[in-house]
Amino acid sequence: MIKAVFFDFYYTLGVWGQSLKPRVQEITAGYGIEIDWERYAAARENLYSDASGSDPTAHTLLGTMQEIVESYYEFVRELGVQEHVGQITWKLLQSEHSLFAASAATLYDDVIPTLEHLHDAGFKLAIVSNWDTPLDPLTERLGIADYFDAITASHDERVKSAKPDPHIFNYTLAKVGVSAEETVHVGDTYEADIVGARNVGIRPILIDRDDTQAGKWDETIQSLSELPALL
Amino acid sequence: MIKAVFFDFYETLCFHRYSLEANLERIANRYGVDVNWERCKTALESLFADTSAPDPTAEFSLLELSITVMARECEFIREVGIEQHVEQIAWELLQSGHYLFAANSIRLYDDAVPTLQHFRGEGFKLAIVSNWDTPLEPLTERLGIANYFDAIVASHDGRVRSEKPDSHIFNCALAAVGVSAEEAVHVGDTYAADIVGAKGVGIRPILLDRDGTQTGKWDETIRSLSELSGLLSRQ
Repeated sequence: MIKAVFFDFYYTLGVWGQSLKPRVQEITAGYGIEIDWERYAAARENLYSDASGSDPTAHTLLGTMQEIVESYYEFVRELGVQEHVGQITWKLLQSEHSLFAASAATLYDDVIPTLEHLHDAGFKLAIVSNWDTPLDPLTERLGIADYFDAITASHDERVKSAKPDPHIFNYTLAKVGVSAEETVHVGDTYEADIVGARNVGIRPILIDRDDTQAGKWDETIQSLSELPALL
Repeated sequence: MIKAVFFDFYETLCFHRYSLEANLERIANRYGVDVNWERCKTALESLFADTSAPDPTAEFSLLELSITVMARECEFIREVGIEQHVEQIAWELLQSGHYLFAANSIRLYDDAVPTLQHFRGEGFKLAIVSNWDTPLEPLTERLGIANYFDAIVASHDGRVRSEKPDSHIFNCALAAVGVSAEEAVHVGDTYAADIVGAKGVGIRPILLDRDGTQTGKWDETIRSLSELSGLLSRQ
């Protein structure tokens, strides 16, 4: 019998930075600065490739903060901005980055109803996320922290393990107090979420919001609202 | 004739929703560590003493500011007797309450939006004039009040670099809004910065004394922003 539901965080529950371009435009216009838009696509790609996961076992928060700030500085310079680089970078981070702007996150419309429903039905709930800082303050500010019995982030120094590694799943099972057989895990990334959960004996469910992963995994949903029926 | 109203920001328009102590207690519980509450008061005093403004004329660096803020917070955590997970607890505390990381932990006073709406509707120009160590636009945007203002002037903004009571920051705001000093009033809660500063450039100052702790300091004093419309319509 299923007693617990684990969720991936990014692209499963919430998302940031859906519209970087208009923000860059608005912020630089405030300084009377012209952007070289031909360089935008390449600069954006660099920005997001830089931001991809560091090693959770060798990591400090200050180091992470420094890397994030530096990659945004570089992005702003790559767009041809030469004046007020620090301040423009700062405004961009403040308006869109999860580290600085929790309130800029969008929770998908199906998140709160699903969490409410499962919580009321007596399921234990947890987040299992590859995230480079602890996630509690962020989820608190998004108003969803109280739904969860455990919020596990890969780079939390009490965890230090990223999906698909089994430790992050086992850590969460122990915190919630259920066995793998009693648990499902919902996520959008095949390698991390499906392979990871399956390896520790948790039933994995793939969420494919944009319908781009058809055929990858048997138990696939397009919205969290399909979840209660599956359980 | 008054055409513009300037506002101080912190403790005039907004304040922090949760106390630092409440945040610390919640986070420490999460980590199962004890806080030495007897040392908290002293530790807080040195935290806030350290936090007082750096020189606004120095070059702005987000990286340095973040690192300094983080280092101070770690020191505070150690001072209250926490030895494990210091960096992470410090970081969670910042994420829960520090405006740099947690704009939505700041709360507007109930009288702020109705007042801004009123003056905007009456055709007044509005501005924020604040001693603040970063630009204030992203914060006010996230609080949903940015659009009320014709100018948002922060002391440590690279385009300003002057803090109240210095005259330059007020003159920046006057120029940005396009009014003369005689046509403006400035409302704030800090006598030395807001009253002395505004008076120094010929702007009519109004002291906001929300807690009734500054009685007798200045003639034109209000307890709530809702009194402001009465003061300005009688002119």
